[in-house]
Amino acid sequence: MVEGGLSWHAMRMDAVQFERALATHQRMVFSIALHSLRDRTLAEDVTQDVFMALLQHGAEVDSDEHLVYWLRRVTTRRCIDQLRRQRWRRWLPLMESDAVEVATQNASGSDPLLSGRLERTLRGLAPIERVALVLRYQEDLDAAEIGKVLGLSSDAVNKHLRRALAQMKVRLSGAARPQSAQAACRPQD
Amino acid sequence: MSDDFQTQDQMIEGALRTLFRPEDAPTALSKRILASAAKPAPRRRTPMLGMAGVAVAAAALITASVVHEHRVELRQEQLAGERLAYALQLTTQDLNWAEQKVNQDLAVGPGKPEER
Repeated sequence: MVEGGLSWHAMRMDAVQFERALATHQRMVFSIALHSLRDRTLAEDVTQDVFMALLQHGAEVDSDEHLVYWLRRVTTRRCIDQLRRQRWRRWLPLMESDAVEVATQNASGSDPLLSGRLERTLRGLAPIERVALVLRYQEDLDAAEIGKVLGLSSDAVNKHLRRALAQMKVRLSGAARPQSAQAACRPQD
Repeated sequence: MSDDFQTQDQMIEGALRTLFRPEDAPTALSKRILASAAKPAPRRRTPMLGMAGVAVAAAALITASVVHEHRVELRQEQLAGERLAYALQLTTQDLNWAEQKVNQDLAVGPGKPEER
């Protein structure tokens, strides 16, 4: 509890429920935001924004499943909005190492080179594709569930996922080709 | 060839699962969110302030337009008065001139017009 206690509006979510929701789902919300935006500071801001929205509209949420669905939906919407805004406004984060840090931390236990390439490829994807990939591989949702969260049909989600993976495959193989070509051209001892 | 593609797909999917592994949010973030939640509905106050600002601006605009209209009407009345006064002045001058002429004619008496 915060000092002085929380003051609640009649339409707002109950304080205990809110704290429980924060403790249980903050990790999920933060991770969706972090992996979609690839920026720790922005992810923190989005997480705060989502929970503030929950505080305002949480009274509408009637079950745990509904809460998870609501949080995923609002988080992905905020992320898509943020990514669309970033498209028009290219800027460097204040903490320049933030983006690199995300990749390096996640790369533990996997090929860091591949993770770095994936990171760069992810940045080239459309916002909706990035978010769909995060819901697929972080939250392990199927196309129908992703569609429900994003307000799309299963076919549309499958199309986005296929396109994103194909794009990643092309870019990764494109990046790998010069190396293999170099290796082939290298004179053998 | 298809085995290669399948392996590549699996490799990408595996790497994505690793890359998208859920992470704990910083402890400071929970505190920040709870502190923000403890504030007395700041998000409600901002729109209310905004609406109050818009209402004040609208009232000021309406008052300014009413005052302006009133001033314009006064100016128009003033101009109309001035025009009327000028017209009266002209008429009075004409009347004076005509009266003077008549007096002159009377003083000369009946006769040939060319003698006047």
